[in-house]
Amino acid sequence: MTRRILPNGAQDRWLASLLKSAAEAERPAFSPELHNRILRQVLSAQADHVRRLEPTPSRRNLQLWAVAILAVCSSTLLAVWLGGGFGQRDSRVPPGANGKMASQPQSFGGPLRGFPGTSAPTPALGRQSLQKLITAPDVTAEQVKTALQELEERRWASLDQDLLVAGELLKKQIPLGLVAQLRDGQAEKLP
Amino acid sequence: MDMLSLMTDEELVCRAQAGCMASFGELVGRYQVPIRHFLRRKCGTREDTDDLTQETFLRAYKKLWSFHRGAEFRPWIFTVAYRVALNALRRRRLANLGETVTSGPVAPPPRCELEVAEERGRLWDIVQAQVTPIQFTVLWLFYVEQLSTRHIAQVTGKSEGAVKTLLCRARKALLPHLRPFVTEPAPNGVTAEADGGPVPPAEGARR
Repeated sequence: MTRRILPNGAQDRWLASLLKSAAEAERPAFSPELHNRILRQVLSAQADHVRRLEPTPSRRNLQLWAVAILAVCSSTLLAVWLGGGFGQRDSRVPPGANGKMASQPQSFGGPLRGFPGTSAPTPALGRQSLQKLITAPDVTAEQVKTALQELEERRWASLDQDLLVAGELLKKQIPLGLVAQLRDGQAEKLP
Repeated sequence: MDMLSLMTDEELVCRAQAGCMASFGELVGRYQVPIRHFLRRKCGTREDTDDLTQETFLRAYKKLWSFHRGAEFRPWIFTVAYRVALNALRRRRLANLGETVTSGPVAPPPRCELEVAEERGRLWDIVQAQVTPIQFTVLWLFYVEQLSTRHIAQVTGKSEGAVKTLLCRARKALLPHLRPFVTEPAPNGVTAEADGGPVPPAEGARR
């Protein structure tokens, strides 16, 4: 016997009409309340979705930005400070200043030279303090030069003394007396 | 709104995807009753039917982006409803209504219940009593919603051949119990099936 997958056409049509009519008889009515409820839910879901898409500044982002700005400002200030932008070192030397200035005290009776924009002495700063400030770089340079010279001269100064000391130490370490004794003892034993 | 009622389902979906809420509302209006009816039959309790219907359309709205142009909306919305129903049944843990292929037919109700159902003429109660849940789904989508076997395969996630087999077996299991519902003579030329199946209605008892 062959098994038929598809039923008899007429039979199926009869079954179809029977089932469809039975379903239509018990079909529920359209519910406006349910319809509105569904649309309200959908609108609420749509609003949630839009709200999630809007960019909201997070605290973490703000913190990161603050740290970044601080870092940039700090590095900028550091670079300026290292570059001498705050006037820590004044490379402009007053005219006439040289290495001999350290040994020759100078009197500044008149206005300070080498400082543009100044035509009169500054009473706020003491003259001696200002003199020291002006000559300080020259003094420092002179002192460094002298120290270097001395170091150069003294580089080999103690070498001979060191050699003597090293020789004495070596003598103490090596038992020369024992060697001599051994040598004399052998000499006696020999016929 | 008249303009919306003239549009096809697919046109309304395109407009809804673009953000037109009125178009989606029109779709809800068109499919509220069929979806609600299917879920009521499938899940069994009227109290949950409205909630499940709402869940179906809400999920459909959220997944509207996945609806491809060229596809048909009707099987798509029934796919969503079917999955909502399965989730609901799984939640309720109704062992007799479990949707598994290996599950056998539902045990027939006691005689008195069957007689009551027959007396009331509630054909679909008899159908649900005689066939498995998946066979019921296939019968409903084929005869009531008039979807093709290809679309039913899409909804249920089965092959088209499996759907046809389910349909055939469901009919075989059902026909002997439909005699009380014969109200008119069967068409001429109807013969018994070659494999000794049920006697066609033309030769059965009539009311």
